[in-house]
Amino acid sequence: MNLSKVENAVLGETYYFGVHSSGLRVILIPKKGSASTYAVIGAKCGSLDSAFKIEGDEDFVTVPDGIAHFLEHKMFECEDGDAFLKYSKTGASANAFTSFDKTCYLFSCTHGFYESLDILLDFVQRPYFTEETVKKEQGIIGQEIKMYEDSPGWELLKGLLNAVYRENPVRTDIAGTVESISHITADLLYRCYGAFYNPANMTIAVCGDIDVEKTAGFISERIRDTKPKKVVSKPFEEPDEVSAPFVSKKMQVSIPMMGLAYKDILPEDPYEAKKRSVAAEIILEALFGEATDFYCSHYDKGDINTAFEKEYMCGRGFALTLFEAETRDPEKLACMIKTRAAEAVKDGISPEDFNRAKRRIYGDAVSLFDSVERLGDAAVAEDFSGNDIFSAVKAIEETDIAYCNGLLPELFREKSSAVSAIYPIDGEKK
Amino acid sequence: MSDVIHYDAGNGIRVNAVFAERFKRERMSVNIMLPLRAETAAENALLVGVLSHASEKYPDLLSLNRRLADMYGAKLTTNVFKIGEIQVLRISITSIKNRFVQSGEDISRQCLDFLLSLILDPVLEDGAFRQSDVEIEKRNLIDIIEGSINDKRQYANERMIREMCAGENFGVKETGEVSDVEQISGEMLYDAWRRMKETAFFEFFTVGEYSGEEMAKTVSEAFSHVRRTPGEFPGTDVIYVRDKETRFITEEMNVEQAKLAIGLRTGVTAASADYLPLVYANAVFGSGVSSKLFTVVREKLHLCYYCSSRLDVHKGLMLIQSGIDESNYQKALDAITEQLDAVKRGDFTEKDTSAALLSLQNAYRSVEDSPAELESWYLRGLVSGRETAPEETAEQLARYTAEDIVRAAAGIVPDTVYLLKGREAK
Repeated sequence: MNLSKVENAVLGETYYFGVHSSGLRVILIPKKGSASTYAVIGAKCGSLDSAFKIEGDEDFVTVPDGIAHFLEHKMFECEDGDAFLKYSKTGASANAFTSFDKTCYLFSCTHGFYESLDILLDFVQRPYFTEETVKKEQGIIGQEIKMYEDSPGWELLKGLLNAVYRENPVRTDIAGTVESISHITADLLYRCYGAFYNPANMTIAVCGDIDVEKTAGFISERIRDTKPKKVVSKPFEEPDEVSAPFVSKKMQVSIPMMGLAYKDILPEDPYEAKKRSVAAEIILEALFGEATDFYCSHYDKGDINTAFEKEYMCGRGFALTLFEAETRDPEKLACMIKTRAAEAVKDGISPEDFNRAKRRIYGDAVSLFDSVERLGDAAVAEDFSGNDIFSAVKAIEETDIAYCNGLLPELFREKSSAVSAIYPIDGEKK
Repeated sequence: MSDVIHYDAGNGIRVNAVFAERFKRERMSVNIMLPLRAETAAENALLVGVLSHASEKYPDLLSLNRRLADMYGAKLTTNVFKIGEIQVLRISITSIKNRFVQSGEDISRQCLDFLLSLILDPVLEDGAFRQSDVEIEKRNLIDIIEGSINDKRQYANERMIREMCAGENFGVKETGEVSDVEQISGEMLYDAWRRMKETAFFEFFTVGEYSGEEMAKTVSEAFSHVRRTPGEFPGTDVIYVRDKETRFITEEMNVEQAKLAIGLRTGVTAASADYLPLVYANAVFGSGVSSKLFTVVREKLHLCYYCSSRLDVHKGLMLIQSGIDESNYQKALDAITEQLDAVKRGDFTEKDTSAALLSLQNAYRSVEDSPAELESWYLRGLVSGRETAPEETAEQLARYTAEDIVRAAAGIVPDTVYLLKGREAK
């Protein structure tokens, strides 16, 4: 495997990139002086991969909601024992997560790195599912689902995604439902694995005080050459219009919560998409950040509290501008945010606000390099979207006020927005 | 490896410097250490909010936040928490290091001055805090206190501790109670601020490349006009009774999943000889994926998604948590009890102890990779008097044996079992 070196002089950071003969993409990021080393391998397999086929197949197969997450849990089971048990011999702290568009398996360790890497590379290449172990996992994941059903923040986002999207599979809950996972079988898991866990559909990132050559060689030796497969997701047409402009739910919470989202479409070109997303972050910071009149005046008036958040959330096939807050009147707050956005569409952003926001977003992007875990995760995510760990910093530097002002009307389209609210069960307080 | 160096910056004021070149950001904090008491918890907690809302130099939230943004997007975070029966008010500021600032400004020094001005130069009107700031932050604090119900896992744990430690200072909520917050006036807050300024212990931290000596000098100058009269460093009462009836408490709420929170007394603190053996025992029993709680209660019995235990080594407690189906309550409780008994009997293998040791050592050594964790590590060390570095602690741990684990576990006694369950008619 040939490695190419990529440097960023301003940040003083370097990484190495190579593609294994199987198609697995390898990113190695040396961090001198780091006590822990972090390794993460990701597959482009998330909750939105609910209907797919292998290129050449005739029909699309539709799988039960939550299968990617279920698969994540079951990958830890090996024929010769549980992967967690194997890690317990190395001391590594291991975990995994499933998001809308990917599944990642990871560990961090302060010693015994190669032993742990061996475990990771082994179990992701050796699926082992039986009807019995699938059944057992339904109980555990059932409790995980119930835990999330009690989380107001998660329910708020779920409601919002369902309201704003009509067709996009990002609407479906990552973990599925107790009902949907009851249809998962060992056979379905093998099918999913076979389609998505192909080295050509995966990326590994290692970050820490590592020997680059040795790590590359170690990975190279352990990845089996598999015939690359191309997975095709069932296409869908998402209209500009939302599914419902307003949804609400009652839960045991202390104060109502508001979610507001505008759906957006990312450009096909990866770097153009990155530019759009960082510009959106700068816009949000310039209009609604802590150093804005909007934030401070509504904070002082009691319309929002420290829980107010804004974010541009995007992934494979989805992008949205998102607001979340605790507020006594969700509909009123949503209205005030929309009014501020409409004003900005009309008048643009002031240069001072733009510069301040850009600095802040830049500072955040730089701080990514202070954590091997965050950096490793970012390396995989950026690679999946066709960018790299330096793309964000570069895109921020290139973003100017004209680009942001031009983006404003596309970002805040009323017909593509929806509001989600959570109200306390015992009536509204105060 | 990062060691800590202490500098005396005045009566009860200390600067703790952890030198670390590897981070891109500089971290500076003040930890204000106060006794946790029901009478003063609310006003102390409110102080943090009001002090970080405005200052004499930046008299409203907008100018204050703009100042932060202008210091290359410096970030201010505030935190109120307890270490044993000490109420800690933490204000931290992180910014990019001077060497990444192209203008050549001393951003780190600016951040330090900013931090000091927040605690020492607030906006005052006629010997009181400005009423509008007080009212805004009171509402905010009330939102935070009432908001604890939103996270059911944390709520169950808090409720359990409150029941278990009723009548002890540890049972006091670190943010105070809503009814106390409501009664605070600008004058009362002014008195609390003066008391804090004059009598609290201050633990300043710099994690990064900023000189501790320089920081000590600046801090000491800033406090030179304050008449300091700190008393004793606040402490914690460790309560330990061997033969106590276990208390069972059940509460109902609209929840999908029942939450189980169990409180136990260990009598062992970070200052005890059996501290590390107990930490070791806890790892075998309930922390992490190689522990008995995970491998048996979750993986073998499939009763839950999470089940784990942790120690409070300042108060001498063990806290167990799990999210379960209500119908499995007794089964889960029995299984958890059985796992603890197994540890007490020495019913664990060398594999179990070696997994626990490796996982603890890994966690200790990872502290080096986070400025915030380094600060917390050394702050807790200062409080307990056990000031060993993470690496040294990792090495010390390896000296203990299965016998030490059994001895340390033998003293763990259950105190309170709390269950939060769904309402009957759903």
